[in-house]
Amino acid sequence: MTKICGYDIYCFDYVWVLLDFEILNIIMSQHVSFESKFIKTDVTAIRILRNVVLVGAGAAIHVFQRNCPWRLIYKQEIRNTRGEKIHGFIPFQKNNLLVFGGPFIIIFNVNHDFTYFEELICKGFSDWILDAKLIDEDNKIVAVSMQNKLHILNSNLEILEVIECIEKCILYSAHICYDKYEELIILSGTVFSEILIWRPTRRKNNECVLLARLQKHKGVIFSLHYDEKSGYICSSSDDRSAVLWNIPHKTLSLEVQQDTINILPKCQVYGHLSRIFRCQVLTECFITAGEDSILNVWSLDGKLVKKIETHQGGPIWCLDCDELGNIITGGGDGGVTSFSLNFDVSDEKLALPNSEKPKLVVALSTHNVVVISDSGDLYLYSQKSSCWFKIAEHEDLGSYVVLDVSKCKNMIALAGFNGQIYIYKVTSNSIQYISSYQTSIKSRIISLHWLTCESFLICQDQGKLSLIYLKKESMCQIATFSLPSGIQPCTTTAAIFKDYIVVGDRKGALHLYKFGEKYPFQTMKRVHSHLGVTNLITKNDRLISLGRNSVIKTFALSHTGLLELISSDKLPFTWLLDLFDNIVTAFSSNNFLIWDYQSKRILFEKSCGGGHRSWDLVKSGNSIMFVFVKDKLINKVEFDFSEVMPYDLIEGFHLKEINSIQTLRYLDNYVLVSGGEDTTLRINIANSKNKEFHNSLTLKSHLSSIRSIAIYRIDSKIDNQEVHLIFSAGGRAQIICWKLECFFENGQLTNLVCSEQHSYYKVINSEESEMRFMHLSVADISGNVVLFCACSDGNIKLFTVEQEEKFTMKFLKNLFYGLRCIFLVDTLTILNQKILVTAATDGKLAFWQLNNIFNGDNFKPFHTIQVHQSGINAFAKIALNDNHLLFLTGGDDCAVILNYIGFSYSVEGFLIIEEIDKFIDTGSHWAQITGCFFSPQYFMTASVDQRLLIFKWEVSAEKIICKLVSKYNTSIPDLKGIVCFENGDFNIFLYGKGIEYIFSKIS
Amino acid sequence: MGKVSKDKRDIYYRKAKEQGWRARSAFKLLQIDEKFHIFNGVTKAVDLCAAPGSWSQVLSRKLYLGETVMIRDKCCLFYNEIELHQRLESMEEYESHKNENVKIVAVDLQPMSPLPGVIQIQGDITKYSTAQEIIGHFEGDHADLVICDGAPDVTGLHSMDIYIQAQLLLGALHICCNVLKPGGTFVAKIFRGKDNDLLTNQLLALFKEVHVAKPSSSRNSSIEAFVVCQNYSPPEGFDPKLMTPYLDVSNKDFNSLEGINRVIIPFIVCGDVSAYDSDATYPLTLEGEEPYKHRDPVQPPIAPPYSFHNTVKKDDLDHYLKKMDEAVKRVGLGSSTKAEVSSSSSEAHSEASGSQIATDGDHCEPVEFENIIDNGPLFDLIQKTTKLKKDSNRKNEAECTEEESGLQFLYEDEYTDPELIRECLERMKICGNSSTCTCNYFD
Repeated sequence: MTKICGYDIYCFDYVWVLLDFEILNIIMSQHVSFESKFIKTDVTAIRILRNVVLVGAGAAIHVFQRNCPWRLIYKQEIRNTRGEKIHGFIPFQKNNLLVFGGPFIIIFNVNHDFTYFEELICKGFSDWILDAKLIDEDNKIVAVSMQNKLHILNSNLEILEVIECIEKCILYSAHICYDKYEELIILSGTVFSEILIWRPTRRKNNECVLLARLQKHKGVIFSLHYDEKSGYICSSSDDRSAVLWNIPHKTLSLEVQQDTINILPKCQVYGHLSRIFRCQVLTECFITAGEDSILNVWSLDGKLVKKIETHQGGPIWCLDCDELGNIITGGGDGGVTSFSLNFDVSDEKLALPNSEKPKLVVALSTHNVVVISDSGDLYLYSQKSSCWFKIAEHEDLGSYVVLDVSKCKNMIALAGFNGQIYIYKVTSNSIQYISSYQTSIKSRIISLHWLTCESFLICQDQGKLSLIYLKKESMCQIATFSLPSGIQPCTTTAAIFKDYIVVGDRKGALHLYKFGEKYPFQTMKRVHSHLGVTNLITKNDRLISLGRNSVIKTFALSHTGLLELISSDKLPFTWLLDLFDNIVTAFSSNNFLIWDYQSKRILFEKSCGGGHRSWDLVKSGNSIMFVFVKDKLINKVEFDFSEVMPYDLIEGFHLKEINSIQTLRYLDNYVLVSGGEDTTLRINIANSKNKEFHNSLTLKSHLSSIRSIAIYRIDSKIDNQEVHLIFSAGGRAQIICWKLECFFENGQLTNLVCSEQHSYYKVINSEESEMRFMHLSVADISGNVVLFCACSDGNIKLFTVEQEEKFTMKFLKNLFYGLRCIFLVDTLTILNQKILVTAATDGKLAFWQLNNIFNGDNFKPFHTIQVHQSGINAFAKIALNDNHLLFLTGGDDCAVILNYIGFSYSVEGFLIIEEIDKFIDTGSHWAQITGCFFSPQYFMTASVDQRLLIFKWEVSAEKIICKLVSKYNTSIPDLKGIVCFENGDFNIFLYGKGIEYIFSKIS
Repeated sequence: MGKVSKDKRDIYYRKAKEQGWRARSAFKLLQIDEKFHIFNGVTKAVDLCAAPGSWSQVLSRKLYLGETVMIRDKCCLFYNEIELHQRLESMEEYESHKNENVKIVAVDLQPMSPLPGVIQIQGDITKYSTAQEIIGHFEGDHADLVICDGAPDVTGLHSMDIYIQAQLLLGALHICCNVLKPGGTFVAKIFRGKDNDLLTNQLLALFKEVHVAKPSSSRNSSIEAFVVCQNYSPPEGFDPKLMTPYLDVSNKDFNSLEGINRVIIPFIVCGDVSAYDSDATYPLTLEGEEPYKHRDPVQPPIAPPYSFHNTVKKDDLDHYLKKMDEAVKRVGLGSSTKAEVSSSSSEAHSEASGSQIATDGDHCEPVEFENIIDNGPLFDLIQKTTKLKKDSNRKNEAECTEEESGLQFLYEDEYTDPELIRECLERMKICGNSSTCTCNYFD
């Protein structure tokens, strides 16, 4: 990057002048109102105050009340800064709030609980503000800008003085220390890896002299912080490191008075995979937060204390800490999450008495631990008295024993080599013997699985499975089953599912048993490859299986009574153990992990040597205990779950641009199917009444980005259910077909289920170029569901969608347009003819006839219209009558064009197109147009310039008449499109890097 | 990613290498020239933020060497030596047509490898002294053309990136005002965003004609575009050496503007109809081309901005050695069985190398060991004990039965009271499908 200086560059000084015109313009067209129902985009400012947290998401201030849990109590949009993001909040003088973002400063009058906001003043400055502060008893405002200048303002935001530093350079970060003018010290982080220290009171020739220049980094300084209490400066950089700087005289103000300032690095830490955007010094530690989504907590001598995964891999833009040890971060996924920095783990190593060696261990609901030793002695470790008690001696279990505890952690079963079974139950501070039996065949019990707390299944030689019921003290064998012959008799887990028993084995198969039948009703092999099933869990109407192959699978019972795979999810570690309360436990290499399934973050990690050992975990309330055997010792780890479990104030969403959204509407609920650059397909519910937005499902199957989504409704045979096919396509030339089932009760949407049907992906040889799929469209053509796919190599691929066992896409043919990247495809019916419309980078609309599509070949467009100079990014159409259409297109060339087109038959009987009129607008947007929406009176366009424009249109005497009615500035950058529903009013969803739901009324 | 994947993805990247350009951005300048003829009559040109030098290369080849550059190679169905010879010959011809009166100055903080006819200044474009140095090279004359293709490292926050790009452009504009002669041309990169109109309107006060141009070699998805400012005509009395002479001018101009009368800067797409499409996926060998051959980049950067993990410090080395030492000790003290040694040494190894990648133990163990590991936490125990039992059980079989006799036998299910079975199944159905515990032992 090239060095730029801070000459008074004149560009942004008049920003507000222009904005005033814009406001004026909107007032003139008052009859259009906009209400932002919700917004989810980059969160760039967070400030924790006593009772509330202020969050800046785009240009919207969100106020959360510190309750249990956090609650959104107020939302305030900043409307006249062209959607500039908020970068900081400063409360002052009891009832004022200063907000800054980009070159703007806004002052609000607020009440004590931040539920009332009145904008007092909003002003744009000539330069981007990096840090601001109130000084001199809240009477003056100081702000450091990107050109290394300090602006001093009064409370009316009038500039009193602009002070320049002698070093003129672009800054990426700045920090203002102290709050009196005489004491002010400025830390500036430059593009050139340096931290500059200067103060407004030390000047020479009216320019501030440089007091010190801190050099250690090798890249742009992204963040700077000085903590007065601990007396350290922290800096973070592009070079993946953060530096803690030691101040010999403990305070910065004292240090800068010395003849030689000697601030040197105390430590430099590397703990991020990419750039570090934020750092902050706390009293006993310092924290760094990066582009890699990681929040690291370091001790002041540079040791890593805690590593937290925050925003699904998206960058952390901002953070703030409170005195209770909570840290709240805002990220690139639009999420805001609170984490606890406190973390007390009790970690004990316990040896059995009499130097006995532990063999197997279980944890009980009482948080006591039961161990069976190598010699068959049963011990209990009492949590209360912190000592071991010998409960029993089972010499016959000395050389071979199986130990299992029920799910409720109250019942313990021991089983032996000759079919012995001993049952114990938990008492308040110990365990109590209940009964013992021996199976009639005296063969080894290979495994024992509690099904409920009064029944269990045992597996013996030759694959004999017995279901045993425990009634008070007596055991009764209820049923016997048999594993299919030829299968190694080693079951790993069992569960009751509806009227069946499902058993998983170590070779990855599931067996479904019916009572009264010896052999399985259904066997599914290799459900978890050859590595084995580890756990089976029943939840609602679903059976969930976990395996050692990193996969979680969900099954339902089909109407034929067979298990049917609903979904499959691959996790980032191989050896999965359990799934409860939305957390997954697993082993990964040497570590035991607790992972949040919803937010996909590691909550807890403990090195235990890997999974090949006896271990157990119990969670009661927030208290978690994990026990395992290692080095002939019992290791006991306990912690408070609430300290590792983050709380989402705002749920995260797509972490990169959303490329496509398709929507279904059910009363007040909108089901939004979204896909984007982060390769995920998400199914979300937005509610127009309570303004809530919830990400219900996140599906990660695509190899690369999703560029387009298409929906096709199919008839459902079941009442209260709607079925849609979703097609998603994008990078690496992949299309996936999904089935989305929406369930209703009394007209209300109650459940959504989405299952993958078919993935179309062809592995290509190294000589071929792998293309991208750009856009999809589905249509019914003579009774067939046909999928059209625009490709980057100039082809339109056609597929027929057929229902076999699942829905599958069958390739039909290619229509070749030319060596041009095709951006859009759509179909329309006119004069009883199916017509395909395509648009490409050459700015042309092309029309194709589809009447012989299944048999014919050599298809060519029968008409093309040159509309734009370059690529057409968005289009929409509306029919005026049987054979006249209006085509709205938005291009890369910033133009909005309306084409009035007529269709007719020529004398020879060919379909011909007549271009009747054209409306061109070139000045209203000043970046590429990416979204279009057409309604009977109005049309809308959205552009990368973050503006939504509403035009009114009419056609009279074959002429198009259009008028710009209103505009809305959104704070969603990189807009990719609009989805809109009209019924008198407009419900508009704008998406790009984030999503905003706008309600608009035109009267 | 493979060596050819970038070639496959991007036609201009491939063509740039084939035609000997240092970067694909050369085509952007060529396409801008195609439309605006910015090179016409130019004898003195300045390239700001020049490294790695593809725009300087265009200036060098077009102005100094006087080449006629065809963006689209002529297609020849059969590639033959005569053709090649002819081409080489014509190349030589260019050599003799050097325009010695053409002066090209390239400025960057980074050094770049030399180009014919290009004078390099390694300096800061924001310093007035740099401007003087440039003019010095032009023997006191001013430049006809100033170009700038510089861009910052993007942070991901769009408005900030766009702002910084605008700062870069204004920095370039500042030096441009000091070296450009009236009537001259200025071309620079911008990012298109919400405040684009403000920036481009500013330029109108200095230049008679301002266009925003998008060459077809610039991808559709990219927010980049170029401002092409022609006919430099600064307001009277404008002295670019002074710090803030311009502010008043701009304000005055803008106050006189009505909101609706805002000047609309025309947006122009460059690159003729036959130009390659930067968004399209082309086959590696186009029709009529010689078979595809991978080529290395023409000019790799000679001074990377900074590199990571470049030096191993003594501290790191000591730390590593210490860890290795510990690991070795641990293995030495490890238990005696072969399997355990191998597993603990592999543990120690992965710890010592500090690898953060979760390696799945199963895949790195030897095959015979894999079986045991594969069979889970209890299976190895089972196997061991089975073997032990087999030996001892033969002897103690009689004893065993006696020991067991202490336990009551379970009946086979056919002898179980059907009522009990029914009760069990009912209770199981309730308990098994609910998440809450219904133990009847704690009543």
